[in-house]
Amino acid sequence: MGEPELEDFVLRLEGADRSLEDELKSSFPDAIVTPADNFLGGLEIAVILKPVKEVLESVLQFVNRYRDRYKDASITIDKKKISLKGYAPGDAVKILKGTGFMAADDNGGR
Amino acid sequence: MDDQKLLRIIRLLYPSARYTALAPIAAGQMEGEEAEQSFVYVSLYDHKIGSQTRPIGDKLVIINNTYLSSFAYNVGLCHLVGAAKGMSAGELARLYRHNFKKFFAEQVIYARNVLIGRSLLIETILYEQDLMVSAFAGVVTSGLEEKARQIAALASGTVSYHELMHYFEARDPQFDTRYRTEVGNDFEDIEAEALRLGGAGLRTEFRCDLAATRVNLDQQTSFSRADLLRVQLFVFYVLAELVSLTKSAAATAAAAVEEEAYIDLSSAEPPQHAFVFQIGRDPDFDARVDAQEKILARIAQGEGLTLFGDGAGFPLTSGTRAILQEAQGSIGDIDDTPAQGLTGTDKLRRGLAQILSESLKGCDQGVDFLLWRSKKFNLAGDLKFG
Repeated sequence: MGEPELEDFVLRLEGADRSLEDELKSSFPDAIVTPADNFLGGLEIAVILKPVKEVLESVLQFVNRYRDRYKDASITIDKKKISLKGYAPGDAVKILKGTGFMAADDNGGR
Repeated sequence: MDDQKLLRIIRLLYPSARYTALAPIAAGQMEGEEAEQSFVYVSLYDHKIGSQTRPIGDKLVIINNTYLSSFAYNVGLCHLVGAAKGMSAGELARLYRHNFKKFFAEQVIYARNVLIGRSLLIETILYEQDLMVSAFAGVVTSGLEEKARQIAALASGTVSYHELMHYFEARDPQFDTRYRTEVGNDFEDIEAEALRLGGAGLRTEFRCDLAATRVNLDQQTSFSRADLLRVQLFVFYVLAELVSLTKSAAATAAAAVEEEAYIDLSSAEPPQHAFVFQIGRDPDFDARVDAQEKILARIAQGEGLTLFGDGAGFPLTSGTRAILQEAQGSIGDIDDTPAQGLTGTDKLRRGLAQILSESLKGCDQGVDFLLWRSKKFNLAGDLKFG
């Protein structure tokens, strides 16, 4: 089976506060960090990241560290939105396999 | 960052959006700024609502999501048709309810592909669509449609100008002074009330709403001045219901996760699972509408007009808001009144919709197809739903 073509993925933190923006920028210096005011109220911060296992692992560590600072965290990979509730550091491979971006017998990732 | 790269990022940020287009907009130069400023205006259609202002790299992007204004078009047309036909409050509420139910269903599905969302979507497509067709029969004229398009444009403007105000607030260090000079003290007491109720955050929303209203009231429309004031308030009424429905849908979807487990596609048993709706209101947005009501009443009074009235141009009474709220709050109700026909969902239709919905378990692509195929787009101009 050929490896699927991967787009960058998006980490989305809803109900975040402004201070998280700087922490995201320092945690992911190569990424585009884009906070958005929402007409519904509240702030959403999105981060555009490279779809590799190591980056996703860093995301899980970040989310785990700041879990009490925002209402919801999710990632969007190839239009699939995945809530990060219930995932812990070390689950990057599990997520990638679950979304079909890593074959079940693939122990490498990208 | 060039436009192509920006477009690619926008597509990543709004993965389910369609009809995305962008255009750079010149935004002048303010005191202290070294160069002319600009932002990128992005128009798209996405079930994720909330017109947003966001920096992307070195660009400031303002998103205009036409999804909300397209529902404002439908609800506005219902309102106009109701007036033209002399409908009772109950009849009008059923028309509103159909539109709110479809919006709710779409928002549930956007949040999560769960049984209740699919079922309500099917209900509105298969069993209630007739409601709109028969209600509009013989009444909808090009004149009414044009008015509904203007209502949608004012709804779109309300959201866009609100976001633009956020942009200028963030950009201008003299914003407070400039705002006071421009707006004066006419609404200071209402602003103070927003501050008291919701702190600086709600006061900012109030200011952005007021700015949007002021811009909209300067627009050229076919409405008389009194009617334009009414339409602007109606737009806020509708937005409040849609915002409350969005949050209710998110809560309903989250609570409905387990529903999928009840579905046994190998079973011939009729559906047993009863839906649980999590319908609530957004108190902050309601407070913003309260403020708009006061502002528009004051403007009307200052111009020797009355805000509420049942004139032919655009009737708006003191009871309109309650009818909309009642319609929003009753989207999940079963209507077993025999004489209503296709003016609501009875137990049989809900059961049939549920069976169909159960058969779509795990079929994300099919549900997405249904979601998009249940709409009609007019890409050359304003959006319309079918």
